[in-house]
Amino acid sequence: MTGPLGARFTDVRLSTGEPFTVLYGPGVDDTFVGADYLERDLDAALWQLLRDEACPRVAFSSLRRPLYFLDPASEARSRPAAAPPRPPDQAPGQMRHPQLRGPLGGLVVRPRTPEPEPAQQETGPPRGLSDPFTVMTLQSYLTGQERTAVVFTEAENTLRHTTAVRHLDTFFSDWARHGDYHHPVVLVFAQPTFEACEEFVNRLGSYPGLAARLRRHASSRVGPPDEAELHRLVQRLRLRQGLAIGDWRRLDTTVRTMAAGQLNLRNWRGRLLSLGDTPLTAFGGLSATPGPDTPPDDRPAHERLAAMAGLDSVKKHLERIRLRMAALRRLHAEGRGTSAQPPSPHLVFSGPPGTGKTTVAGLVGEMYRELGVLRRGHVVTARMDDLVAGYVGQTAARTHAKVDEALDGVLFIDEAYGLSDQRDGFGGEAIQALLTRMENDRDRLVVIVAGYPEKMDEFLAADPGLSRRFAERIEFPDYPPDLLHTILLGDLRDRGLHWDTPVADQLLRAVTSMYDTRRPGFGNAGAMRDLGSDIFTEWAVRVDGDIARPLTVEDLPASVREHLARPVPEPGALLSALDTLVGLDSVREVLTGLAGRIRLRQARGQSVPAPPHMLFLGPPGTGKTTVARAVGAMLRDLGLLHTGHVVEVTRGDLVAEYVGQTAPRVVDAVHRALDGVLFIDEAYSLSTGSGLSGGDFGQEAIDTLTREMEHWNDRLVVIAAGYPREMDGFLRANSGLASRFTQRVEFRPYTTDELVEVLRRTVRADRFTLSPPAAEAAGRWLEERRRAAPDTFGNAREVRGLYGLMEQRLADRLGPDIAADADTVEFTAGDVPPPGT
Amino acid sequence: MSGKKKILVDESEWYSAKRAAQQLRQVKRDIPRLIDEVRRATEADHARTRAEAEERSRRTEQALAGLGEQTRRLEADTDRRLREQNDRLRRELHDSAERLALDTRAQLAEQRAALERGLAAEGEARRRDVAALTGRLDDFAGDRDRAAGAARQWLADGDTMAALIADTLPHERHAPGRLDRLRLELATARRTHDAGQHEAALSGAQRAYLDLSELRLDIERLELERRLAQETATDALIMVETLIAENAVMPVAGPDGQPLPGYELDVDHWSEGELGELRAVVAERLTRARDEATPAGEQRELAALAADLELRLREIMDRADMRLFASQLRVNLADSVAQTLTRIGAYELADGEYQDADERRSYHARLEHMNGNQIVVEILPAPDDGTGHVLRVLSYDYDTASEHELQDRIAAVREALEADGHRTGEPEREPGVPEPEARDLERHRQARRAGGQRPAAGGAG
Repeated sequence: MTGPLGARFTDVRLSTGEPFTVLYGPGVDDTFVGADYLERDLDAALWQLLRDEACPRVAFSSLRRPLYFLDPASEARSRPAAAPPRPPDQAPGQMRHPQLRGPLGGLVVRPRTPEPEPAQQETGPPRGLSDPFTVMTLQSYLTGQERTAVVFTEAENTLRHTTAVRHLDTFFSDWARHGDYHHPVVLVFAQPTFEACEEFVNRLGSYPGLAARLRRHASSRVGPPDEAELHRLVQRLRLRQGLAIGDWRRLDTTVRTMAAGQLNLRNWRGRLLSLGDTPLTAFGGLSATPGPDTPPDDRPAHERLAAMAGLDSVKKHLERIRLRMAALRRLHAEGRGTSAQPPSPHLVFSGPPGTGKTTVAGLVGEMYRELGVLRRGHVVTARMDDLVAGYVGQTAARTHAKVDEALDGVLFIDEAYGLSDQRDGFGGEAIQALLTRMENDRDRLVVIVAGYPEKMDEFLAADPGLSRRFAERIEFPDYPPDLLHTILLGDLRDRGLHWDTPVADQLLRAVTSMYDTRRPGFGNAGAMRDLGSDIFTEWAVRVDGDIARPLTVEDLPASVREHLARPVPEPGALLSALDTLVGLDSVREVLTGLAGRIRLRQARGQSVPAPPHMLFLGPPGTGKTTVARAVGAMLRDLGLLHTGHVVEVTRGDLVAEYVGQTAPRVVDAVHRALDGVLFIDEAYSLSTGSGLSGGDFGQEAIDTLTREMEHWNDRLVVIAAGYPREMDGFLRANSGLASRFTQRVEFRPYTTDELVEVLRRTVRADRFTLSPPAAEAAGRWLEERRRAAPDTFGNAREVRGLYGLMEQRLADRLGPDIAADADTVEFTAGDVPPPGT
Repeated sequence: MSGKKKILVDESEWYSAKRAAQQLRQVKRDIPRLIDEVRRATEADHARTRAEAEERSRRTEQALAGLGEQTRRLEADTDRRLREQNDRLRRELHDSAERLALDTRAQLAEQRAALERGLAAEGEARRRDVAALTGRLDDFAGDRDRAAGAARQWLADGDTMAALIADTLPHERHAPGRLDRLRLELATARRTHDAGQHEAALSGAQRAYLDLSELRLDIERLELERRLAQETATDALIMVETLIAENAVMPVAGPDGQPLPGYELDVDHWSEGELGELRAVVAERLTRARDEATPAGEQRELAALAADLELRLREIMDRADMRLFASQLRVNLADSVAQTLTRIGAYELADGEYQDADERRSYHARLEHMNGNQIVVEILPAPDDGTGHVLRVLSYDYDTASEHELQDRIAAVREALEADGHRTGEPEREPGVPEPEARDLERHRQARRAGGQRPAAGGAG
């Protein structure tokens, strides 16, 4: 229930059963318009509250006014019984105490230093109760029988600047030890959070008795005014100051906009009074944050949400929540269903950046307010830095500060997974603080966490409390290409550019391609704005001052232009990279067949199959890596892959030594290879460790890989390479694996002739020639190598080893007479080392 | 723990300013009214003097009528001149308002000068007359009967003159024994005459008469001088007496110099009886001045000292005034300290009273804090009418107050007093603990009631 002082004091309790009660928050400097339409400052409001809490005497103390009272009764109760009543005013030239009489009555015979004017008193040195006496007096209140509230307004000043630090510390310590906290002792701090108050007191170091007994549950935050209070302010100003309302139908919306501004009532009063004759509803500058004045939208939040472009699933989901909550409210209004646990209002927004999550969070806040779930419904956005601090003990304070700010509204934590990523750091502390506040302030706080879907899974898994509270999960898909296109054009238009329809079409194609080839983390609207900025720069450089010129396709950055359609290459050119390679007939055959199939489907306008994952089976040195690159290029040229690049990895790159590190490595490799080829050499080694010891994470790598292959089905080709026999073990490691590798390419070992041919081509590439006797000698050398160690024979790699030896011998033979300009130098049989060496 | 602290509050600046203001204010001397007052007081004296003079004049005239023709003329001339001189002097020295305004010493000096001038003029005239009278003695040579007749006339005149002096003039005061001597000479001349030596008797009788005539003149002059001195002394003393009476209760000037309605300064009270003492001194001297037996020299001294008495009166008045204000200042200071303690310490004034309920004594104020703590502030007058006050602060704390805390408090009191414009000295710690009875201010009122002293309201109207 909102009390007569307004909603801001609804939850303020000053008799807390603790020695000290703390008030803090942005509202402590504010004024308050209560249900009685009276405007009070905090002193007056606290006085009222304390009176309501049965304190017949309320004493205030600040540095400037060490002891003051708001009511004569409190003051009278604070004087010794023997003291006669104080005269109303001191007559000029007369003594202050009329009961003092001299031979000349009450006359002052000695001209006194003139009393300072009240205005001067404000700025001059404080001339009031001296600090030791103040403390003595306050102490007497707390030892007395009569219930007395002692309120330290501007507590920071008093604590920091009092000249009676020792006395004050004793005062706090004695009171903290007292045990019966019959008298409320209230400290008002102009700090944003309770933790900041605590920190302030701790940092002073002079009041251990106070510092040790500050309790969060004995503290209250005074926030900015809510809509109802601003309504009362508007009405008060209308009646008293003649504030013109204007269009009464728009008043609610206007005040709602004001309430979202989070400004103090005092600020609002100043602003409204400065309106003059301008009607309130015609006044644009109501938004607390400066910006273009947009007329307030009068529609309810859910209608505005419905009007947003895209986000169909989000809208649908939120509408369900809205209807559910509305039903609950109605039932509760009739007194039904009140005992059931209400559904959690907290939400997870999972989706990539730039998909309107922040905007939707704002609408959710308003929707909750309209539903009566939240009083204000404002949104406070927090990122990890806002919640987590770099030093011990500060994180909770930061988190509490943000929560305080968001009370009665929505705390929107973007990229919330940063907290769980940091579990070893202080992220866990932030999560705990957050959970505590979600529990303690469950009627005043809605938290929306947002981030990439997978990351949010990790986040929610970090603490069971999180998954329990964040029951509703709303998926935000990437914006579709047409929406991205609209955003891009809007951005370019805002930048003052113009273009014709063909350019717009080209942009749509580029954006569509970008969308198709987007990676996790694709920025959606943000990416479009970045692109708009890049395009603008290119355009500006091209036109060189002639700003009348329109935008053309030339102005697209090179990386984007790639997305525009390329001409389809001739079939023969597809595998030209393999032409120079020796002995890959079977490989070429398989690939040519694949290319032909794809081309056929393309030509017939049929759906193009996803690019196939492949197994390259064969001994080492048989050109698998080279072929993998050729495959990437081929699939790119066929339009099945966007870039066709090859990311080469081995077991060492994928399998980590510690728990939890392997999967991210695999995912990272996959993401790097997106739109290209992930080439896993000696893939069988992933599975070989799993049977040997429980500490091996090869299996985890395989499982992750399998999942990723499924997920990125149309944007990734995985080529697993290795010896045929071991590769079978690899495929068995995960049941889903074998079926995904649809293409099997056998690489047979090279014959000796083929190897010599490889040598010949290698030599030729270096402008050498190979004499026939040398070729024969090389053949003999290679045969001997294969015979000596058939299992480890490296095929083409052996050729590279031989070539190195031959170069060395050639150099020895030629000695210093190496003719650098000699067109060709011939290897002789003597340059070939004897077999077996 | 409770404490006793002492601060010297230096008010010398205020005192200097107050003194300077007093310099401007003279003793109330409303001259015309004062003269009326003095005249009224001296009227009886003057009337008596005048009656005596007239009586003497009548008897002198009567006596002179019995003189021989020649001597009658001589004495008539002398008498006329004496009266003229007397009248002139009185006019000159007394009868103008300005005279009274003059300093008594100046009056006395002028008096003496005037008398000497008159004496010189009179001496010259008489020498001429006597020369003319005695020159005719040669006419009697060889004529015994005429000589015998002349001698008888001189002897008769001598007897008349001697009787006149003896009857009307204070000859024993001014010329003791001279008359008797001259009577002897006169008797000798008579015997010579009876023996028939008429010429010798004529010479002796003539000389005796002239000496008697001279004596009359001297006595008249000395009496005049004494009477003038007496009048001057009496006037001066009556003036002081009048001033004392008129200034015994004074209006009180406020800080702005204007009289404060409803308040009077009882000088005798505030001077602690000094005014009464002065009044007694004046009365005693006036008695002496009025005494005919008091010689002129002493009268002149009394007259001269009257000025000092007036000065003393002024000092007493100033002192009384200063003490009244100092007393008020003590309450003011108590007020100031009470206000200070209220402001800085939330103490409340509970009671205030002068020691023995006598405004001339120290002022005591008791303050109470709502926690039961008490502070008694005592403002003591500075010894010997000095220019400062001693402020004693006696703390009675029910809870524990450390010495440090007490020092803080007294420092705060001092700071506030300084801020109020009082110059204060370093607080001093007094030995011992505050006397419990110092908190009881009612005992002062009881003491006054028991003592039946004069009410403390020092002239509150």
